[in-house]
Amino acid sequence: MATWFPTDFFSSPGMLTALVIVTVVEILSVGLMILNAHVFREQAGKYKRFLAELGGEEEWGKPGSVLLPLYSVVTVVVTLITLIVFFFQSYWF
Amino acid sequence: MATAANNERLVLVTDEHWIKYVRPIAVAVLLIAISIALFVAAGVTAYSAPVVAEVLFIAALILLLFTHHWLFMVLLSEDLDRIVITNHRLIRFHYYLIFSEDSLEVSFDKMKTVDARKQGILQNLFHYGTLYFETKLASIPLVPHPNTVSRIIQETMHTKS
Repeated sequence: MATWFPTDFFSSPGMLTALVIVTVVEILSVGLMILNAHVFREQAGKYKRFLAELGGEEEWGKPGSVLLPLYSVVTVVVTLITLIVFFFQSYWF
Repeated sequence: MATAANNERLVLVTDEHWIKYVRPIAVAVLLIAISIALFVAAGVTAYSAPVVAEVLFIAALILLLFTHHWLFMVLLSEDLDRIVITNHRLIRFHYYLIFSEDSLEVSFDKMKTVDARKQGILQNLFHYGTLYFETKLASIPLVPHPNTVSRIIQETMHTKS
């Protein structure tokens, strides 16, 4: 019976191993993105406070205001696309 | 992290020159091209050699994700890098997210001379260079319009003295 979802992942240990590896790598990737975003905000905060002590808070410039959201979006998109390609590659090639 | 002293006020904050982004972006484009080639190879071998296909896919995925995170870590780190000039000192902040945090401080009490140099075609074409303090005791690269920044620093040094 044809299904829209490829069920051959569960047919062999090799496929299951690949599935586990891909899933773990994707989870680590998202975790790294969250960690980097947290560290960036912390470092940016220290720099902002230093400028404020010098009376130059208007020089802050909001670093990361574009890059951080872009980083998050690209990480999620890359994760979804690679997962979709992984699951459906046998249908496409 | 540096803290402000009494009577210290901000004179100038400048970013490093944009040319610092060129090399990491070029390297990332190359690595992404390689990972895409590996993905295509994985797809092509999916029926004839499924084990090879899975290995190629995982290798491509790891390379793609590594490149993606490395590029954004570099871009975010460079976005935070600043050269701050106050009436007492010059501080250059250099971050590398989870790996390192570095600041170079040049006190105007100890350093009395600053030299601006632009070397090579690229630096002269794109107007960036290196500031040298006390004849290369300390140096700050990738400074945009280094002659202008050097003049501001010299004026600040003279005002302080």
